[in-house]
Amino acid sequence: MPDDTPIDEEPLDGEQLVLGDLINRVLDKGVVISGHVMISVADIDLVALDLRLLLSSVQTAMDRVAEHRKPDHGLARILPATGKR
Amino acid sequence: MALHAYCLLPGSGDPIADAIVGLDDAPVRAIAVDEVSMWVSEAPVLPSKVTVERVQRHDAVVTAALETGATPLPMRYGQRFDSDEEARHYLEERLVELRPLFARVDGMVEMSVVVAPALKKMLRELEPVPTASLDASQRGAGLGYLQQVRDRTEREQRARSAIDAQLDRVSSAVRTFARAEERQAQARGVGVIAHLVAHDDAREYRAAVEAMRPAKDWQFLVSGPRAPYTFCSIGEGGGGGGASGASGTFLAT
Repeated sequence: MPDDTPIDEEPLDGEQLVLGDLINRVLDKGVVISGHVMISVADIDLVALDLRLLLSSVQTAMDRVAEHRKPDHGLARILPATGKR
Repeated sequence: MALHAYCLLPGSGDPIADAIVGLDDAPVRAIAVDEVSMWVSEAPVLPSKVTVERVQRHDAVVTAALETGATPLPMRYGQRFDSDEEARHYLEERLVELRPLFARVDGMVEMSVVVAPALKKMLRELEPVPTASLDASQRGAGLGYLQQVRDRTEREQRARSAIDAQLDRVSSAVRTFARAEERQAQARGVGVIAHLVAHDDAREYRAAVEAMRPAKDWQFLVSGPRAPYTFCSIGEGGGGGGASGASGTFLAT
């Protein structure tokens, strides 16, 4: 059955968004007792990590759009490759 | 060897199942001081690079602690001790602060909702790339720069207002269950709202969010139940002497 989700409403990759939320929380929240905490995360940019996950989601979605723009997918409609979450 | 710390639990430390393994597949054990125990595993002296897989493994151990029936105070990833003695020393220093935190989260879990724009909305609102850099020697260059700053500020304010409106909707939908709340606006117009809810209400919380119809161009993604990372905070700033107490906004019940 074809997926009728219009491209305007195509969701971002939910799994990656939830994973990004988890990573931000585990790295940025929680009880801090030891003063060593910053040493082990000093070489990672938390914002960049978050952004990388998000941009990766966008790239995946754009790849899917590009796939549907191939001639054998028709010209009239550009639909996402997978179903709506 | 050093110790990687995962979480704190009330109680003097029941035996930990062999199936629970920590970073680098090291067995997890408890270090207890009075009525508080800390779950730790042996770790190399030099900290390993932070990866998504290691963060997930840390969280898996904390989740295993949550599944024992007690609510752990999850520790931020990356906290290490040189020895059992050092870990005990830190616990002894913090017992007074930890007791009210354990009481506050007893029987609770954390749930959160990611509010994200649909793909096209996100692409539509991407920051435009300037076609040419401003030439400071040109007439009106200063005004042009100020207009760019103003436009960017207005776009950011509009994006923040739009996220806040969606977060308000989520907040209203789960008000019955929420004991505390914290909001966070993230990159590219994504917002997250976290709530502390009773363990028994986690299923209803999820159902309440999933029953909501997101506004056009938005999606809501629920995650949890998990340990209350967002709602326990002591010693912020590291090395002792930081701010203490529960974080997040606690709601009237």
